[in-house]
Amino acid sequence: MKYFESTSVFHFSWDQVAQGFWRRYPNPHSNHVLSEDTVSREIRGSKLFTKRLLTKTNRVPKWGECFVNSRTVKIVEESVMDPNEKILITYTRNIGYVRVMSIVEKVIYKVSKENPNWTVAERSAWIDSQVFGFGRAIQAFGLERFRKNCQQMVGGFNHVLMTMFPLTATSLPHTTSDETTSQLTPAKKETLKDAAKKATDIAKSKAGPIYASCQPNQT
Amino acid sequence: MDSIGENCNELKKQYDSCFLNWFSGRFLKGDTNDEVCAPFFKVYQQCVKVCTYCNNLKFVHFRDGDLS
Repeated sequence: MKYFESTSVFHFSWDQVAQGFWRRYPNPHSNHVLSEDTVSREIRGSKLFTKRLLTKTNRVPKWGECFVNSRTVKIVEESVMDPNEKILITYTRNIGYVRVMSIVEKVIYKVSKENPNWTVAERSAWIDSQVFGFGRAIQAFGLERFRKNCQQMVGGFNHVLMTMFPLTATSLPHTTSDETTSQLTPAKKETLKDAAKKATDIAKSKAGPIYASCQPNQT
Repeated sequence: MDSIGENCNELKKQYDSCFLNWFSGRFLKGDTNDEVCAPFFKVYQQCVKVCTYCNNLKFVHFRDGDLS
C-alpha cells in the first residue's frame, strides 16, 4: 500500500472552486476523460451529496496487459459540499480491476487560512494492488514451501542412506543398530561406533551441499 | 462533457444547465430546495441507468458511511 499526500492552493474563493468543480471536464488536460455522468444527487440537511461516474482511458504499460484487458476504467467520484462551513470533500476511486490496482483519492477543499479568497486542497491517495501483494506472498509461500520440502528431502535421503548403509547409521538412535552393537564385544563395539561416527560425519559432510542447496540463492 | 451513453447527451446537457444555475444562484446562497431540477434529473437518470446496464455496470448507489 502506497500513501501519498499533497497540498495545493487555488487562488480562487471557495465558492468559485465549488462551482468550478462541476465543470472540471472537459479541459485541455483531460483528454483521457471520456465521459462524466451524475448518477445520484441529494440534499441531506444543508449539505449536497453527489455521486458521479467517470470513464477514463486506461493507459497500461505493455506488461500490465496481462492483468488488464480493458481500454477504459470506470471511476466513481463521491462528494459532499457544505456551503455553510465552506468545505468540499471528495472521494474518488476506480471500480473494476480493483484487485489489480486500487486508487482511492480524498481531497478536502477549504478556505485558505492565509487568504480568505483562496482555496486550499489537501489531497491524500492510497494506492494498492492485490497483484503486487499476492506476488510477494507467493514468493514468501514458495520459499517456505521450498525450505520445508528441502528439509523433508534431506531427511528422506538420510533415511535411504541409513537403510542402505546400516553400519554408518549405528550411531543414530535405531533399534536395529542397538541390537547389532549389543552382540559385539566392547572393543569391537567402540571401533564400530567410531567407524559409524566417522561414516556419519562423512555422510554429513557429503550432505553439506544438499543442505546448502535448500537455501535460496543470494542473488 | 459527454455522457457514458451517446443518446443521453442532450438530456445531460439540460440537467447540467439547470443544476449549475440552481447551484450558484440558490444553493450557495442558502436555498436547499432542489426540486426545480428534479424532472430533468429523472429523465436523464433513466437514460444513464439503461446505459450503465448496457455497459455491464451495476448502478452505483451511495453506501452509508461512504463520506464519513
